[in-house]
Amino acid sequence: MTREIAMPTGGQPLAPTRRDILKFAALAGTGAGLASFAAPMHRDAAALQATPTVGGSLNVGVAAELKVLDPHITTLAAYATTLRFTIFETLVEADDAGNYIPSLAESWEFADDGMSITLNLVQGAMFHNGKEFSAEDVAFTIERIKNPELSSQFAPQVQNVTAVEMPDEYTVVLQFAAPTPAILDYLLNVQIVTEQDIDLIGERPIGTGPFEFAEWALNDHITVRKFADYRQPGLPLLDEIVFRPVLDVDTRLTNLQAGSLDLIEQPAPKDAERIENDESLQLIVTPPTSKYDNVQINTQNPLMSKALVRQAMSFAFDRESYVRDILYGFGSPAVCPFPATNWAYDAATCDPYLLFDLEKAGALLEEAGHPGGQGLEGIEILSPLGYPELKSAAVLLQANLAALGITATVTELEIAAWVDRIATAPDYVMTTDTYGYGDVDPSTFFTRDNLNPDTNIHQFKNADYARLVEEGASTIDEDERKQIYAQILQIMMDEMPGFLIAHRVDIFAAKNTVQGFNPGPLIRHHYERTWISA
Amino acid sequence: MGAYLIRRLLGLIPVLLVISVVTFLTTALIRGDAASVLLGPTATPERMAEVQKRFGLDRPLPVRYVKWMGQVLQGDLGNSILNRQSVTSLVGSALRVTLEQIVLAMLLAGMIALLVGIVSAIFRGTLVDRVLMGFALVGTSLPTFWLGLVLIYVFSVLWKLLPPSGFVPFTEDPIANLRAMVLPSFALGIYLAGPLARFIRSGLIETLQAPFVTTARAKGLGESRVIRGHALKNALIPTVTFVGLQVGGLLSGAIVTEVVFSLPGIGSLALNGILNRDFPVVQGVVLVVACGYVLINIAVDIAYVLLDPRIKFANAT
Repeated sequence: MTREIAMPTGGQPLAPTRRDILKFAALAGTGAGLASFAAPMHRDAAALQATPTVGGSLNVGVAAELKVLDPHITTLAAYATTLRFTIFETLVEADDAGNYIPSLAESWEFADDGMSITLNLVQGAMFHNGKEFSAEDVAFTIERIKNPELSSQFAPQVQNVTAVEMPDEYTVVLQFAAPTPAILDYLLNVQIVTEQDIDLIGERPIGTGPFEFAEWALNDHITVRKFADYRQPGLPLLDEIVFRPVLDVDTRLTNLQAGSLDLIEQPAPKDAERIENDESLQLIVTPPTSKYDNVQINTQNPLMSKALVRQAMSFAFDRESYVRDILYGFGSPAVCPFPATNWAYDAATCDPYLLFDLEKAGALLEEAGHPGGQGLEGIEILSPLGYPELKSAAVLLQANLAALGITATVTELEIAAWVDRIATAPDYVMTTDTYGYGDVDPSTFFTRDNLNPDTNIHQFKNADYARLVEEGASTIDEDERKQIYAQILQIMMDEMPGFLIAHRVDIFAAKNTVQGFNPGPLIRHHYERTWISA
Repeated sequence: MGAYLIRRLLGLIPVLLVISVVTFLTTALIRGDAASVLLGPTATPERMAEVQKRFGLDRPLPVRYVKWMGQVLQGDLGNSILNRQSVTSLVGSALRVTLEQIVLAMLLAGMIALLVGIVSAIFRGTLVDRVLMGFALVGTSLPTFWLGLVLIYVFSVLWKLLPPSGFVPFTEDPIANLRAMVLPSFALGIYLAGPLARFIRSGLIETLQAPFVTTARAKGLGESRVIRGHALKNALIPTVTFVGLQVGGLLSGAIVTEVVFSLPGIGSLALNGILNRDFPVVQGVVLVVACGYVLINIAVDIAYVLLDPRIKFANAT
């Protein structure tokens, strides 16, 4: 089948500037403009300009050290910028508008009753160890993720798959326990591996992707190099990519400016203007993503046991200020998990809660029996170390609460201690947090650990919520699903087990010579069409 | 001397034992473990139990300690929990980076200090002396982190003379290696130059007034010969003590420069090990560093004897 290969442009940065984003984000409130914006038309127009240079080495600076190389047990954001989409592939991919496109599966068909899906696999795709990709690899991958011994965080994505049938070498049929219309979105998160050499996956991961693993020098760099037998001819364009963890955000930028890095992820929002004004650099900004920053609340903590108090916390948070002053405009205020562009977003339910209203917060507190914040001493807001925006959000909330007469403290904890306090032995009041997933289908949002009805960080248990989440995931008709999600959002607003503060926009900075890197809103960082101009 | 040496080396054992117990306890008792780091906020009690079992973290503390100690005594520092690489090789390659940094830092600091110290001593009391000592004070007061960033900005971004980060092994490319190490070593060592200069200066001043120097001058020896051949050696004794003691400070300073300059040394290995709760790595690093520290102290004591034959060790034959 023919595939349009979008040729990279020459010279001009491919992504729209920040001003364009904000302009279109304003339209997003009606839900109208963004969908068309997300499939960038101006890129295609310029697409036929220059011939890309084949070859070369790209130095990428990432914000965290990779700890684990196994795609099924790591959720670290840095993994998505490094190995997840270079070494591995998934059965389906998605374009910037969220439409599913073929990857290792050429085509697919749902059964009429929705209880299974048949996927026709690509033929002739090779793993890096020489094995040819076939149905048994899909079966092995799904089985591996479901295995409780592995403790994969992606198990919820395939939990409905009861059996994987292989009618022939290049066809799989996934049988479901209940209709699973979101299965394609779930499969976006399932990197395909093969049984051969699986024991090496922690040291020398093997996939079917455009790049193969070359070496890992701990704390220094990870190198991947071009896979000669990649299934798409002519790709990848680069010879190798060297990923360097540079934890300090300022050091990352100075390295880019000094030339030892070609591309960096997550420059500090405050440096965006400086990068734009630098003639040798370009700022790459994604359209609004479904990544979000939020405040988690421990509903079992006596201070936060009343829904009214939790709602008050949400009304007390100044989201506009957060987006404007801390994110420098690289985001949009949010209270509901779905971005405004998602079909399940319900403006009627969510918009009333997007307000920053200290008076309303005060009234809610009074109703809850805490006039002027009485009885709410000892509120501690946690923040994970290494996320300066989240720390600022915690401090912002602290200031907002002070205006209500509540004295809260902010504690920044290193990750291991933070995880211990919020998940393992939950002992917290509130914490700021961030979710870096490019989820498309609304049901996928509820497989994540803060919204999962069974075991969520909020210790929130609500029978209606659980029932509706399951219904939403297993109903096929989109209109019916929209109704269900409107009800779920209503419960979330009434109970407020936690609240979002903003959806994020991803930013990267690169030398002007880097072309063909289009991160898109789904946090899928592909490098096969990236090249470096002379 | 031989018996002295053996006794000092034997003294290593109780030191290492105590250190190993303390490190083990501290890393095991702080909140969070490798399983929490791996699982992140998705860490439900069930998942935690699974992962802890996989990493061997579910056994009681004393059992884990004894098992680890047993391995160490056989020369095996264990494997990193997170990526299963041998701790010995991790520490080995990291040590090479930090040692080079420390040596270069001391060399740079030493050269600057010698120059400043000697000139100050010769011109003591004059404006030159005061200005030089002023610079020494400034050098000591600058925070390493800040200085590192400024050096990167000036030499890498502005003037594009030196690389801002990264490490190339000396054996692979000596020039690239030195180019990468100049800035971090300078940032690391400059704080030493100040006190060192003062030591050399005051040691020299004192020694230059000593009778044996007057004798040397009376014999007709030139001033530089006096300084080089006689005075300096004596002035160096307190200096050597000072330097030996500073290695500990340099090691902790190395953590800062390694973060700023992205060097894969012992400092960043230890830091990441702690943040990741990678116990075998942390314990391996601490043991090796403690060993090194004690050995350096022994070396300093031996240096005394070489510098001043009058100093003898009790019970040495």
